[in-house]
Amino acid sequence: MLANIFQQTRLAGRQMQRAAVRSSHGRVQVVTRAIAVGQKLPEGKFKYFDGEGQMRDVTTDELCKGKKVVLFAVPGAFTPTCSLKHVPGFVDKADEFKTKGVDTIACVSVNDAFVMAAWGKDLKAGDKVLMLADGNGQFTKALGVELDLVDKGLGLRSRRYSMYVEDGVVKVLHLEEGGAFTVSSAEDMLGSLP
Amino acid sequence: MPIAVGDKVPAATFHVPDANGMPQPLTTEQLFGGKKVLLFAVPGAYTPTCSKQHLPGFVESADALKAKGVDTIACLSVNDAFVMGAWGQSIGVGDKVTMLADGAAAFTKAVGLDQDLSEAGLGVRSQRYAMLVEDGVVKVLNVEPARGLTCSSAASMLEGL
Repeated sequence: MLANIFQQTRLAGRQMQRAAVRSSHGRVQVVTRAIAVGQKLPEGKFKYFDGEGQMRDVTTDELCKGKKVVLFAVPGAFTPTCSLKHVPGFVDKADEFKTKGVDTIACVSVNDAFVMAAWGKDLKAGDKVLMLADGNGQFTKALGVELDLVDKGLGLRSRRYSMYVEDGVVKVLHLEEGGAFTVSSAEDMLGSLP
Repeated sequence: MPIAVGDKVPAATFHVPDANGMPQPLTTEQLFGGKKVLLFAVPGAYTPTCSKQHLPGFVESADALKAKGVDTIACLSVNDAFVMGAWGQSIGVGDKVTMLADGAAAFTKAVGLDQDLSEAGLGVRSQRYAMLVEDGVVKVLNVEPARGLTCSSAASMLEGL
């Protein structure tokens, strides 16, 4: 019989929900739950190429503090759904988001900054969508949204999601199972903005 | 201990982008078995030297290399097959160079030619090198001693054939 014990741990000022699950063998496994509405984004650092072709770092704090940010994630740069639908949707709707008060739209993937920059250029992201590299998957892991694509030769990636973040706190979250594309489009997010 | 001339290449599976850009597995046996293969490795798809010089050099020299008996020219990087496919297409490799994705760096680590590029947010990557492999045995191996493109370029390898 399984018993769920929810434990809220304060870790370096950051709240994380962990479920301690006791199995019938009496062993306890700790599972990090995925990020939820109302929680502060975990600390993360991304790399990206700026308008002048310089590689830069940006932390989640620098990205989100005092700002309204739409952050969406894809399983992989240059993969079909991501390239044909997900990113283009946000590029097309960028102006509408700005009109609704969104300061920044950013795309995250577990890819390096060179790949993200080349992909962004391919999709004409320009200055509409910031292409952020979560190269070692640290932010993705901290969010609890990893996607195992090892069998496809892609390693650990991110589940697809879109979120609206105000001053670092998640206000709206559309998290997909794996790489499905059902609730995380730009249209869905536009319609969900408070 | 990195691989050396006279060694057999280790067994591994790469992913290769197919006509639709989807990853398909390709084993070292399938790639190297009974063939003369010129394999060159780059630190990263879409990085400057790799994109402007190394890969284009092999596309240009492909015919000359084939004339000297090379069956397959293959480009390897620790990137996934979607990225390798898109990159190859952007450079215009056509069917001249086979793009090999060593996504988990299995082959790269097995030949002992990996390098840590975590500082640049790239993680474990391959060193830049080129090797001529005949029926799975390394005949020529040119590993770049420093950053830049010298002994592992298409021109250098062509000269050495």
